[in-house]
Amino acid sequence: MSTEVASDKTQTTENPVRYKVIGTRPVRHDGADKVTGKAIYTDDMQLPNMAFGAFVRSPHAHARIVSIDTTEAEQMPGVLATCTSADLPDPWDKVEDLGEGCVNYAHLSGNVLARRKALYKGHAIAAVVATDSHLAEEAARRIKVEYEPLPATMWVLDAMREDAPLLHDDLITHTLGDKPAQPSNIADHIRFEKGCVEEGFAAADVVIEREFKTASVHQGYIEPHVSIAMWNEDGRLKIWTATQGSFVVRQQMAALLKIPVSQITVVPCEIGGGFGGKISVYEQPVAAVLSRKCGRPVKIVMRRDEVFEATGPTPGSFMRVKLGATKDGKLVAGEAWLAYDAGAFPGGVIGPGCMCVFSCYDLPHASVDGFDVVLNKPKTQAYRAPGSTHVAFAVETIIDELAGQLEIDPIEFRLNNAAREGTRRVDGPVYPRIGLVECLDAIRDSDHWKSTLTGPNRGRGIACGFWFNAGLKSSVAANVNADGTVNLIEGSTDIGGTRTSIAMQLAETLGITAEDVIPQVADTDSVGFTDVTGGSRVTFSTGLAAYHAGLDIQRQMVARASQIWECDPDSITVTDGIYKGNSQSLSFRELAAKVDSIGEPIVGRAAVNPQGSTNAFGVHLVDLEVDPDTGKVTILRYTACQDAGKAIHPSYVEGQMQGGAVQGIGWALNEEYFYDSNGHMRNASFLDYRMPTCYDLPMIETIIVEVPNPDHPFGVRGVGEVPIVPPPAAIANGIFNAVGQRLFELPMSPPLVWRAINDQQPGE
Amino acid sequence: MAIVFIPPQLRQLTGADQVEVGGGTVRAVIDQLELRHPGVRERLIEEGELSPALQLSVGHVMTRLLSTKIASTTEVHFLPVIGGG
Repeated sequence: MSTEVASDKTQTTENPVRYKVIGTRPVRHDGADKVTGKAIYTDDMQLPNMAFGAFVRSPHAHARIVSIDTTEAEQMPGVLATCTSADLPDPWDKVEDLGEGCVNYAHLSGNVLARRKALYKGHAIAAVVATDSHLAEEAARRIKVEYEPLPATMWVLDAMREDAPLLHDDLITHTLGDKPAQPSNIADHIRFEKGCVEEGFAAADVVIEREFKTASVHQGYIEPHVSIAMWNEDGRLKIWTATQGSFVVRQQMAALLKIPVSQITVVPCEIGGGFGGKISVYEQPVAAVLSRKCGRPVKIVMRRDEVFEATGPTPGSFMRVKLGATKDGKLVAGEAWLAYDAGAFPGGVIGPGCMCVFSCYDLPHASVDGFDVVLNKPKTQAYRAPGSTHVAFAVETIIDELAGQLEIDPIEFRLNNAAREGTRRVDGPVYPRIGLVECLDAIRDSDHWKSTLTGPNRGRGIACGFWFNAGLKSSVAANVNADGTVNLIEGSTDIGGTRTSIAMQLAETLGITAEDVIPQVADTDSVGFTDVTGGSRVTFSTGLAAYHAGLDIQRQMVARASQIWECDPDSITVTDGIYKGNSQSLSFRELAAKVDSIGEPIVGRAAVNPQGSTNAFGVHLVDLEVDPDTGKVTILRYTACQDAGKAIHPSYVEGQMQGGAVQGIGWALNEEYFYDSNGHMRNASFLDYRMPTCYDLPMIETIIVEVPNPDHPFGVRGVGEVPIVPPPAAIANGIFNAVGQRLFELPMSPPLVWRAINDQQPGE
Repeated sequence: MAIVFIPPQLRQLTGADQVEVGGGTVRAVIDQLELRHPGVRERLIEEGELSPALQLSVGHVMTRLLSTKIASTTEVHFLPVIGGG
């Protein structure tokens, strides 16, 4: 049975609806399998006659590939086949929409296996398959690659210089303006304008301009990339893999291998984290080619150093941001110049960065310039709210500084300028009903904000964050069983407990318990097309599909009840799963038992494609202490507040908020790709790439605000992205509050903090 | 009439930051823009479809479909594509 536990820190606005399932905290459907070790991850899979693949990777950050000699490796006993980019079809120079962003298949193919040039250290050059994984690793070492090293560029501003070494000779900057004549490393230039910036700054009493730098960071999922490919003699290809989107893997495989999607089945196994990093394919096409060559199923598991060096981190960035305000605390103008690195291929996250930079505030005048820049690092990928954390670090730091200079309470200053319904963003669209003001109010009313922080070198910081959240395509089918349970088949891979949050929405619609819905994530042959699990979209969009499938079932159940009771279907009422008509009533379970014996099975189905943003906001509050001797920052207390629209399963909402906050804290204080002068990452292990653990942090407190999304029947907005956005800025503001020094660079690691404290001049 | 917000880099062609244009779909609106301001279409369209670097905000709907219907006074914005984590 569901256990109804009211969240004591959930604040619902606007005539809250009473639900029976939604808002409760049932045990997750996959919980027993997960905690007893029975859940099947890809690496658990063992197929008969399975072989194992390994990669040869570039030791250079930038080099021309002169030759590849696989002879010695192929002569080793137990080695079955090798492959290089020559074994992949010539790529289409075609850009395709993957639902959440587009991919250029020529670039993707060149990232899977390098063509002509290695563009970053760790770039895959060749691969080998053998009868065991150790043999494959040894054979990979015997593949001889001759390189001609080229100068590398590792910092975004260096890569933008006219004399920078070019990664792609044919890369012409994409812009809606005049196209440049010469190639460069600048892949895209985006510009937004609202009002007149000069006029706005002229009206300001206080103007602050700062420059910020951030390092590349990785999503840090525990499970490395792993896949098994089995290419049968009949031409059908089956892939078992850890992915955020089985259909998107199918789409990419079909394009890279030039075979129809109908010949590919992708089976999504359980996934040990993704956060945006498991949408692009890496090892899957190589495993497929090797399987075709050797006639066996082929498994490839990336090592941790391969995951760091060859999969997609979030970009490093340089940002110059300027804000102006009047002395009564009103923002009047903003200006941002943003350069994000895209890694070795174009298509980074500068677009959303530009759209998010001033998204929390109502600015009458603003301009934004953004640049997508290629350099000799792995191709960047999404990481929770991609691009938004960077700009929030910049803007929220200056907002705090403005509030301080104007001697206005930082929450009051934010409330004075907060975006709300009707606010026009700098990129153009106008917000519908949103919940930023409610989040700021909730933080102001919290125990944490009202508490007193005392002690030397201790400080308090606050920051806001935004992410769009997406809709996109989702499909579900639901089969009613004779015992009154319902099997729910869905295409969304389950990263954060979405089996249960979707099952709960079907249960609420049907008036049954969450436990009476049995959810299953199906392969690409067994359910309709479903976009990626990303963009905080699954509980919103796949939940919407489950709601409509529930209504479909209800219509069929009503029709059956009218047969049984010999009455007009329109005379039948359904309330909380009780069907009433012709002076009779049956529960859903009782009716399911009856209809099973009198007609065809009842199968509900729905496919949806909601296309709006659900617009989610969060506000975080942190208390911290700085050790002046070492520069180490200790988090003392942390509260994350967020508008979830409606929390379907509050524990999962809180878990997303806590997980995102912890990842943001790691980004703020420790995490970075540390490169040496040769462009080699020197900390490609979890020992040296320092992510925070439960030993480093207090329990993250949560406050769920519920301003219902008018475009969802239960008001869902989605929650996974926003909580990574505010932490770096909140912590930077807390450090200033503690020691009087503003920091403009991430990570704010002990050396950086120590130098800032010790460079402090008397009187500062 | 749709209200088309012109991206800053296109304003050298349109001379304005907003343009009111007739047309029942996004494609028809772009055709009308092209008639008035030659050169706009090639900056927005590639191989008959919206440029892969762009998406549309039509009212509160985010889409890449040029067949998206437009009601009177609907705002149309050309925005960069976004991906989530």
